[in-house]
Amino acid sequence: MTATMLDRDISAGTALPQPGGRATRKQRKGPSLGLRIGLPLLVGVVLVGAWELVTRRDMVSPLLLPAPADVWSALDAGIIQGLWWGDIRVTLTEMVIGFGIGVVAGLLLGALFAYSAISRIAFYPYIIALQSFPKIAVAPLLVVALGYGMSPKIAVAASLAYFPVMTAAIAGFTEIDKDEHNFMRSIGASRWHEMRYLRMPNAMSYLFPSLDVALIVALLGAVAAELVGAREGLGYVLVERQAFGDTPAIFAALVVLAAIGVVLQALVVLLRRVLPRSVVPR
Amino acid sequence: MSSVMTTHDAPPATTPPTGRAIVLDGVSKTYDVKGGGAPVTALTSVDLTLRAGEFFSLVGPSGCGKSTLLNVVAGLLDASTGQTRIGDRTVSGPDRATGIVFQKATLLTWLTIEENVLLPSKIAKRLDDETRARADHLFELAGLADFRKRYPSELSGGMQQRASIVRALVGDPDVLLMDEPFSALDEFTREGLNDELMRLWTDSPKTVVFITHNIAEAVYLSDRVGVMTSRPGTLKEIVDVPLARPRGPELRSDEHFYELVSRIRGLIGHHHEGTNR
Repeated sequence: MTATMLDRDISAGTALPQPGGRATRKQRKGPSLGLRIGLPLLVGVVLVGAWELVTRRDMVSPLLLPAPADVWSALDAGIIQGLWWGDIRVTLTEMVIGFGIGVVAGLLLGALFAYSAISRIAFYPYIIALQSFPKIAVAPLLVVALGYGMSPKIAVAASLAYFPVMTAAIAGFTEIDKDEHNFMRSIGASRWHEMRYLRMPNAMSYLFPSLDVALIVALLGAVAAELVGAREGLGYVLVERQAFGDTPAIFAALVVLAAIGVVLQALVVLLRRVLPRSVVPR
Repeated sequence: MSSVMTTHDAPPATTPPTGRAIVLDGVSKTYDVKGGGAPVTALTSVDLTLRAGEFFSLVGPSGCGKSTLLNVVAGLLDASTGQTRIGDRTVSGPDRATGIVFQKATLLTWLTIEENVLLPSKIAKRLDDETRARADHLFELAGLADFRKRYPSELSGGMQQRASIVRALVGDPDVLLMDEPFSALDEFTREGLNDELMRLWTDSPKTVVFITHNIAEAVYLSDRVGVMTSRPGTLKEIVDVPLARPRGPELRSDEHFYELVSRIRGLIGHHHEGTNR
């Protein structure tokens, strides 16, 4: 019986899934691997070469643009000799805690607004108003209120990170396929069942793309708050080095921040690939 | 024609009575229009009696209210007037004893085929050995036994819709409602699934209400075909399909089959032109 059904599907010209799964995902033909790695590398070499050339000829003051070699030696001192590891740890801690609080708050607010029309009508305009002013401007106040430790940085990071998560959660909880919703109704699903089997998984598929945005803005918030007033952290390094006119170290710290951002974003992408479909729908 | 419209009596039973009779008594549906315009009539008063175990199709142009009618029987939509009874029960909301197959397979993409099929039973807390045995049987019958651990996106459209039919049948409902289930599929897959559906229905007969745009499909499957017309949505006429069962692919080239198809096409086409403004 099974065999005849399979035959029919083949004769009907419908694609049979491959044993490895993911049959419906088509491999997109694009530029070759060599080109995709080689071209960005080439651009990088050209850019650094131009940078080197500009600094050698003293076209820009070294206070504005240090030589690549100087930046490298600052990186060497900060990372390889370990001068900045403590600062990196502090910034990462602030960012991760801020991110965590932001994600939880965003999820809770998203669920609240998705489920309660009254709360949405009452509070959502203020959430939007709050979002549209630069929250980093509150950082000095927060430093006064919470001191020079990690808490004001965590607060700023969380206040930036919650928003993309909240909007994604609202969309994920409310933008339900009409037919799937009707199906759930037709089998007599309660609100809880609907949440558990339809809305939560649906929200997850919306949520994941928002997480890397939240992660990056959490880093941004933590560093920006450190610029205002801190005793350690990469933002503190930036301020402190600037006071000494140590432009190579500032550049090196920026490189470290960029690297942190890239690595964290890659982690989120990896997590999404690794988690099973039942948790992260595709 | 008028005598058909007033009585709508079910023909004598040709299959053993399983499933439940469905009785629609003056069912209509109107929608209020925003901005205070005249209410839109989606469905004018329908009286209809389906005998237990009957395969009944509704055909008609878009906007004739056939989906509205189905949703009322499903309990997903409240009728404006009249009442619907399934067996002894008056329909007032969705019921587990009614299985529904939608135009889209509506399988949840984050569950495997098996988890999807068993979800209604799980939610109803009736996931017992009997249900699992029935699922095994249906998977086998539908040729899905090797695909139960797969995710919906890994299956072709035809297989997804088959899984959706299995899901509707696994709770052993009295009534099976199907809203254009095969309209998104190509012709070959559709004909294959028609035979498939016939086998499943013969295996455990239910009262089926089947909505389609495809007249040949309706005739091929049904004991009777209800012809609906639009503006406003009305059940215009019911056509008996006295073709012997079991039916097979050779029926599609049968003379009587062809006559019935042309007759129904005539009923729809004539009226449809008449209301085209």
